[in-house]
Amino acid sequence: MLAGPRCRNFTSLYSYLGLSLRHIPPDIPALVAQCATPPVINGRVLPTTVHTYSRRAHPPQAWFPPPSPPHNATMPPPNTPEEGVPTAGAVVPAPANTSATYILGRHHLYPEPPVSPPPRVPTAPPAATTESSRATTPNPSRSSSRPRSASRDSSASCSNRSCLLPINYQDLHYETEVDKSLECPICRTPFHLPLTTKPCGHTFCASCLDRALEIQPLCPIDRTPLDASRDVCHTRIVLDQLDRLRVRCPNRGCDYICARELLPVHYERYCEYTMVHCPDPDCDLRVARADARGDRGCLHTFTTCQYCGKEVMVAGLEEHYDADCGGHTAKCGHCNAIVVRHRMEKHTAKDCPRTMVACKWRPFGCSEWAPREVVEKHEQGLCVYQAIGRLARDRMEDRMIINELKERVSAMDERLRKSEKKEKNRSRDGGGHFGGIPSAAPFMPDLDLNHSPRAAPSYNGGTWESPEDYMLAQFERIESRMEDLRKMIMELDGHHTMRLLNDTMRLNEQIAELGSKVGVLGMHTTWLMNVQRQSRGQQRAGTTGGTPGPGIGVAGGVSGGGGSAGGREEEARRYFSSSNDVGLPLRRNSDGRNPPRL
Amino acid sequence: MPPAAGFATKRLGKELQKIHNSLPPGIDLVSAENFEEWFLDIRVLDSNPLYKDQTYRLKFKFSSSYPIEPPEVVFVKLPDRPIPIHPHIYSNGIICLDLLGQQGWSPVQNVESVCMSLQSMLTGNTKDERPPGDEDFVRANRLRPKDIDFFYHDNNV
Repeated sequence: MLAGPRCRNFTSLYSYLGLSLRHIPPDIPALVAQCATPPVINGRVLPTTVHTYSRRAHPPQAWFPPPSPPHNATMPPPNTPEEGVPTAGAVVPAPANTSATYILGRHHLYPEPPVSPPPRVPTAPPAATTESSRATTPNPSRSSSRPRSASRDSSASCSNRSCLLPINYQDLHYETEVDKSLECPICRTPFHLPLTTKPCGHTFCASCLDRALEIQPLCPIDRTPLDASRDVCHTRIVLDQLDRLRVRCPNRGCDYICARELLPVHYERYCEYTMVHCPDPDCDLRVARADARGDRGCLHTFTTCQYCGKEVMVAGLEEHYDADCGGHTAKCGHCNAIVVRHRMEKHTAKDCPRTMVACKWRPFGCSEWAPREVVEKHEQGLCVYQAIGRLARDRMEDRMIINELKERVSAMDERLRKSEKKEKNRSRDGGGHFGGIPSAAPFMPDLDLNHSPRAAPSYNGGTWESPEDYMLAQFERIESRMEDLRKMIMELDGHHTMRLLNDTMRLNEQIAELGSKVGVLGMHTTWLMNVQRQSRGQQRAGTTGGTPGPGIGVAGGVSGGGGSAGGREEEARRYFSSSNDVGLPLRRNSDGRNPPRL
Repeated sequence: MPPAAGFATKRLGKELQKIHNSLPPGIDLVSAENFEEWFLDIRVLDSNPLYKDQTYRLKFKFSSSYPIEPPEVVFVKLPDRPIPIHPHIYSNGIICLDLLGQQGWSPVQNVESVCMSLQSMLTGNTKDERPPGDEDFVRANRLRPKDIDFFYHDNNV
């Protein structure tokens, strides 16, 4: 629908330029065609994530005749020819290799390999993903990649209440200077999920590259033609460098700094400031993890600010005090500083230089009592109780450590005693039954999976601070076990595929051999039949003597009526010719006489 | 609204930070109060008599799809900021440069690189003329620059 006005405008502009049509170079029809199909940009919400991740699900063409499940496709059979490997290995990073490095960040780097979507049709042109074609052909990969797009697209809504807001990697604050070569030339932030173009070797964030390729299938830097599904790969060295960057946790209030690859774990599991769903099942808002814990219930109710009387949400009260509370500041009674009111307590307790405080060595005998600024100076050099104070403090610390160790020993004793008792009980109950169950079983019989070839880590040795820790450790252990099992299954699958391939190959060969033999036999038969027919023909020619040929002889006989032959012979001839209407060569009679001829 | 409205803002924030730190000679930031419209001044540094001792004001307009889509760049006429004379710059400030069109644009370009391209486009020019049909175009054109389909024919710029 845009074709009309655009083209008209184009030609009118041309006439503005005062050029006649013969100045138009030969490629003008192509240009007009471009006008007729302008690239669709606005209003097109393409799921960029589908592009990104379905890429790795492309199995290299035809490994194995029946399409195996997508996940199996990520592991090449052991004897895939070498030339097949670069494509496969590069586009499809085999989880078996990557899981060791990226196990912590795998939710973000390679989220959940087992549910990798079915391969996208690689030949589908980007323009085909317009509204109409999307409506008519439901794309299975889109729906299956939904959780992933949720992990990257902040606007995606999430039906599962346990899911968190995704980390926005373009907003991260990096603690160390980031090398310019690690920045995406499109978004100008350190790469997130970097993809390198194969023909020209330029690297971009996956999402940025997808956005750019939607408009034009060219490399944004040097305009090399690119196919979004084939011409990109991951570069391990870039990933490694990015993983090592030190970043600050994106949650407001959290000062945690870690390597970037560890950030997802901190964010998802440990950070107290991560916004989680409100504990109230009827509430759709989010609240910091620390506030969601305990039984404070839903914090998204309104309350009246004690200073300015405004209606404020309980969860946002602190923020309100700090920022927009009308009566939020007050003068400190001691030092005249302007302080946010609800911080006043902290101010007098820690910062105010005029508040009267005691020397920190007071418990060891110092009697200094003065404004904080004086006491601070006193503590730094003058206080004579410093030496003894430090000694006493060290001693107290030692004492604390000793106490803790004592507690731990007693806890272990207790545990040992319990386990001994259970052991005894079990052996008394009749060992025959449970002889096969390993000794770790009584502690967590339902969680122990002792099928692994590795020795199961014993629980007896470890002490757990809390049930949560224990469960967390269990969870991690099971996760790694799952990972192992997954690898083993994949290996097994590869073996099976191989074996199947080998067996069928042999069978196929045999079948082909049999087929060729049958063919040879057929040829022999036809040859033999031909020889027989020929010899018969010669024989017949010999017996009929003067007649020119059998066919003509018969025809002549019919047209000539009775001829010299008698009525009996005529009957016999009719009999044979009627039995011979299918065209078989004439046979001898069973008594060995020649068939009657004219 | 496009999928990532914040994308343009973030990228422009990064660019602005860089621009505040350093800019190539002959390019000055005039104002960038929001992430929709920026003004920059450019000067031609060599002694091209056509543009000597002149400063030109550029207006950048960014859509929310920037940098995937090109910004809209035009020269602005002010009492002390004329429109440079050039066979590809119309007297209403509209620039005919493939770099600023949908086909020639690349998301790795930025405000700075566009300014430098325009600088070099002026530097390399020797013709003291407007594009053919300038008066008609200026009188009749009601379209925004990005909606005009220019035909880029001159490879010498």
